[in-house]
This record gives sequence, C-alpha cells and structure tokens, in this order.
Amino acid sequence: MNLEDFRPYLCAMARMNLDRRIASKVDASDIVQQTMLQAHQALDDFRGTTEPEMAAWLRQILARNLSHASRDLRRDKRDINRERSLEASLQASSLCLQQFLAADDQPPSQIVQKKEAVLEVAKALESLSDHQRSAILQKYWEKKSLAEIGTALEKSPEAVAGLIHRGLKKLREILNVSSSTDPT
Amino acid sequence: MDSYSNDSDSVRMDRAIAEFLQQTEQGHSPNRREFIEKYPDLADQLHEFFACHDQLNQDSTDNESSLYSATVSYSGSIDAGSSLHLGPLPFDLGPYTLLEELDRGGMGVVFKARHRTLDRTVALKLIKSGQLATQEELQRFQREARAAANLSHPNIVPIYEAGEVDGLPFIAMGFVDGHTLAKRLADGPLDAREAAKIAKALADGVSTAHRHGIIHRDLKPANVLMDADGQPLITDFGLAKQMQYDDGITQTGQIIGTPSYIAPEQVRLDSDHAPELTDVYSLGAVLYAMCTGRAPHAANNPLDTLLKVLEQEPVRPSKLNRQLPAALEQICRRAIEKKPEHRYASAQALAEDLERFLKDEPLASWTPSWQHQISRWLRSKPVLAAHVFSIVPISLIVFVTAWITRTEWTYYSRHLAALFLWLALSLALQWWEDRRKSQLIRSIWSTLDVVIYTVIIAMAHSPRSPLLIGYGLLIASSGLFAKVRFVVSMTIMVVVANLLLVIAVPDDLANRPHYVAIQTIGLAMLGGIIAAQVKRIRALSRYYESAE
Repeated sequence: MNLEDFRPYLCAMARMNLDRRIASKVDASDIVQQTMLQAHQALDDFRGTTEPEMAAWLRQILARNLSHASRDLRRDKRDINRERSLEASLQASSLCLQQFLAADDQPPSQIVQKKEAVLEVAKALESLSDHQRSAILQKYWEKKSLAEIGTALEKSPEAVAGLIHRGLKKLREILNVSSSTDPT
Repeated sequence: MDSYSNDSDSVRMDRAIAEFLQQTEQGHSPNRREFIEKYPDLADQLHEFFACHDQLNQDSTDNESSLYSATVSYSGSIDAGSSLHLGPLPFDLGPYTLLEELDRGGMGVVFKARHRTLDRTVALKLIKSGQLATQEELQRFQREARAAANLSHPNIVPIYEAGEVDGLPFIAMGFVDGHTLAKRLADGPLDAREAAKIAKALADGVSTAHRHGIIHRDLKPANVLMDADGQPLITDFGLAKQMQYDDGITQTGQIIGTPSYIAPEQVRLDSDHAPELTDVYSLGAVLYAMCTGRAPHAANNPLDTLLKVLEQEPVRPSKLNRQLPAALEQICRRAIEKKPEHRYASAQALAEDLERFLKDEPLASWTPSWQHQISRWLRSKPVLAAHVFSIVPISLIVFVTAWITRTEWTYYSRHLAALFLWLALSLALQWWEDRRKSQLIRSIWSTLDVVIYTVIIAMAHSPRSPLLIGYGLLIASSGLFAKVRFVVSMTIMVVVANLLLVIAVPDDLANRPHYVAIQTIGLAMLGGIIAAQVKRIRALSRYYESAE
C-alpha cells in the first residue's frame, strides 16, 4: 500500500471540502501536501491493514488540516466540532466519488470488491481539465444550478453543460479502460 | 465512438443538455422520451448522458445497494469515539436508527430514522459541516429549534428534538410520508379551490406560529410537505433565520439563489417592518404559484429576479390561468403587495379571507387608494409610463408655445404630430408586449425612440443644441435595464443618429466641427460610464452569489 496512491483521492476530498470562504487564499494541493507529509511521519501510528482503513485515517488528518486552515485565516478559535463535522463531510464526499464509479456499467458488487476503485475515480477526476472538474463537482456535489456555475466560471449555461457532458464522458472512458485492463 | 463528427452536433448536444439540466433545476422533470424525440440524431449520446446524470443525481433511496454496500468498506475503522461514521443503513446514531436518506440539500442531509426507545419515526436532519462553524452559532441554532419545538399545529411539521450526536448537530422532526408542494407544482397549477384550501391551512399554521413569536422567513413550495391525505405541512420553522440571514448574506447561497418567494423588504434587509408581514407575502407568493404554476417573480439569474421582486408588478394571475376566480386573484394580489402596509395585516386576516372565498362569501373590502393604483400601474408598465410622462408634458409645452406665439402653426403642428405618433406607437408596442414577451419588442422600441427623437430635432429651428440633452437621457435610461449590451447598442444608435443629423440637417454646429467631435465623445463616454455602472452591479451580484 503506497501512500502516494492516495494523493489524487485526498486532492479530490480537499477540493470538495475546502471552506469556500478561504478557497481564494489557500490551495487545496498545499493542504494535501502537508497531509501527506504528516502521514509519512506518523505512518508508524497507523494500525490498520486495508485500503479503506488507510483512506479513513488519511481523511482524519486531512480534516484536521482543513479545519486549521480555516481557523488560521479566519482567526477563529480551535473548534473540535468543526473538525468532526468536516470528517463526516469528507466521508460524504468519498461516497459521492463512489457514485461516479457506479456510473459505469458494472454491477455494484463487483465495484465493492475492487478495493482501490475510489482511488481510481479520484485519479480520473484529477486528470480532467480544471473547468470540467469544477463544473462536475459544483453540479453533482454542491448541487448548484447551471446558471450559478456559469457565473462562477464566467461561461454560458450551454458551455457549462458542455463541460459537464465532456467531463463525464471522459471519466467514463478512463474508468472503463482502467477496469478492463485491471485483472482483478 | 467518436460522436463529435462535426462541430454543430456538439453545440446542439451542449444546448440540449443545458436545456435538460435547467428544466430539472426548476423542479420540472422533463419527459425523457419526448426530449429524445426532439433531438433524434443525438439519442445515443443523450441516453448515455442520462445514465450518468441519474447515477450522480439520485436520491439514493432507490439505489441503496450500490451506494451503501460500497460504504461498507469505509466504515467501522478509525479509533472509537472520535467521529461519526455513517455506515451501511440501517445505522445507529445516538438514540436513533437511520433508515433511509430522504433529501440532501445545501444545509445537510435528511434521513428517515426511528427513535429506538420511543419507537417513533422521525425525519432526522443532520447539519453539514461548515454551516455552523462556531460554538455560538451552534447554540443559537439550538435555541431557535427549541423555540420552534413548542409549536403544535396540524399544518406545521413538529420538531421533537434538537441536539448534537458525536459532534454533529441534528434536528429530529415529524416524518411526513409524502412529497413537497414544489414537486406537485412541477406538474402545473392546482384547481382554484384546492389551492385556496391549502393556502388557508398554511396561513392557519403560520398565524399560530406568529402568535408564539416565531417567524418562518423562508416559506416556499419546497418547504411545504404534502402528506398522504393532501394536507400541507410547513417545515423548517424558525430555522431559516438562523441558517440564512445571519451575515446579511446567506451561508448556503439559497436566499440569493431562489429569491422568488421572499418579500421586497427582505431583499432590502429592511427591518423596520413587522416581520410577520414577510411571511404573509411568502404565503401570497405560494398561493400565486399554486394558482398559476409559477412563482410571481422569476428570471434567469438572481440579480434580475431581485430587481423584479423590488420593482416590478407581477403578471396578474388571471393572465396565466384564465379559469382563476376574481376573488382568489384579489386575495393573492393583496398578499403580495410590495409595501407591507398594503398587505393583509396578519396571516390570520389572510386565512379569514381565504375562508370567505371557500364559503363563497364576499371578501373583506379592499379598495386600494388611487395613488396606490397609479404606482402599481407604473410598476407594471415602467417603460410606457416613462414615455407618457415625458411625451405628454412636452406636447403640452409645444402646444402652449404655439398658442401664445400664434404664428408658425405648421411648424408646431408637425412637432405635435411627431410627438403623438411617438405616443401612439409606444402604446401599440406596449399592447404587443402584453401579449408576447420578447426581447425584439424592446429593441424595436428603443430604435423607435432614437429615430423619432432625431426626426423631431431635425425639424427644430436653430439653435437645437439644448434639445440634444434628450440623447443623453436615452442613454442614461437604457442603464435601468441593467444589461450592458442594451446600453452599448443604445449608445451606438444615439451616436450614429447624432452624426447623421449633423450631416443631413446643417445647423450652426456644422461650422464648428470640433463641437460635434466633443459632443460625440461626450455621448460615447456617457454610454461607457453607464455600462461600467451596470457591469459593476453585475460583478457585485456575482460576488455575493458565490460568497460563502
């Protein structure tokens, strides 16, 4: 189990949960980098054996870092509640990624057996263009309307629809290819 | 595989998807088959897209297998007691067992759940992280929920408990087996009596809440649940305030995202008025939606919707639904009056009038004062009003001048004729616009304004320079539509008209070409300044939309 395999997954999680009030000042990839470093240092403390356990452990570290980033920039006090609800939210976004996965045609049982499936989705998501990824996450994770996404990205609703359509298509292609080449 | 054989196909596909997504966002669920029949050549791609879309967009109630079985692998890890893990459903959370996910919104996730010791089915709302960032916010949220928990009314969803489990704030509410009014309205307007009955029930509930000092502040069809017997129940009482109005701007983006049902004074964040009357407005807006199938004010983006809420008179409900009884229309219009003091004095008064309608009794008398009727007419036809209020006084001035000087009757009568033509065409265009909403009419109208005004100046005696202020006025007034393109096209038309005028009808100005240049630059700059103002407002509105 290579820690580095989880980087795209953590990137996706961070992007989906970065406090929007500070999003302009903090880069999700910096927080992920910090999380990876801390995970490397604390790897001995990790007692789990499976990928999901590893993912959960990393999410916990990420939640702390995201919460600290909000606190530092907004000069709030440390807030254990926020950290915990962030963890729940990270888990929800992990579920959301799994929904992407279910979008290819395999029966769900097979998906569950493919352990790194979620990591694959995250990797695929990271390989989209910034605009495609942003449009898809805003539409299906933040549940925003085309018009709202259009204003945020400075594009017409049709252009946003195009980004979503082509992004989903590309995701599907990447995921189908990787699942057919993967012997498990 | 390669579906983009040519460019126009891909453009049409984008447009089709945009159309589909936007209809879905407005709460309609477009018929897939009809939709595909509309774009037969894109059928394959559309099928593929629908499959992806459904998968990502599902409520997950119908697909527990894939979603929650997948969750198995991610639950039950981490050290005990440190955080919440939603494992596969059913899942135990504090005293509750979560059974299925009902709804997922900006604020959090709602589960159908069962209180294990009380054996009571509830709707459990878990608040998403970041919504209540600080301890004070959390406490206030719970205080509000506790106040709302004292309400007991058949048309209000009861709140049983508010608290915190494993660091996650939650509210336990009565579980209603049914769907929202918004979903029902997606199928079209309701029968008038049914609409009145529902509105009466809602007004009763709201009036009870007001007696307890609790204001809803965010009544809309999405916050009304219809149970199996068709009884409406209001949900989220007392929570909207906490969730949405704290910072003046929303935390979830919803107040600015869907402002169609909120009162004008709420848009202005004007707290001088009795807050109960904002709920009366929203009740009226919901009644309007039930009678007509659409909200009183709706536009493509929040800024235009807000401008409509603030400035425009809604389309009369009877124009959208010809079968609507006049009495119900009157109730509806009175409830959504712009000024709080013109509305029903309380939710109870509204309920009483609805009761009278249902019993076929005459309504409480309501005769708006003539000033009020005039201002209502001005709001409903602002462009025509501006024309009438400028053309009529100018015509009078011309007429009086002609009468006093008693000379040059032909000269003045030509002017009067042009002014009357202008007025008559404006009336005709308004008549047309009342029947057919179209951007084209506005364009024709503004072109007409420039042309007729230019003709009038062309006929005027020298020196005509004082009359050129009208050009500036045309540019300035185009800014009121808050559309940059409109300002730019008006400015171009005016500049061209002015140059043509100088060339075609020589005036003293022709001897001073640099005056003409200065004047042209002045007009262009005026247009630029107005356009910059409009852009600035648009940018601010976008910022507040995306903020938080």
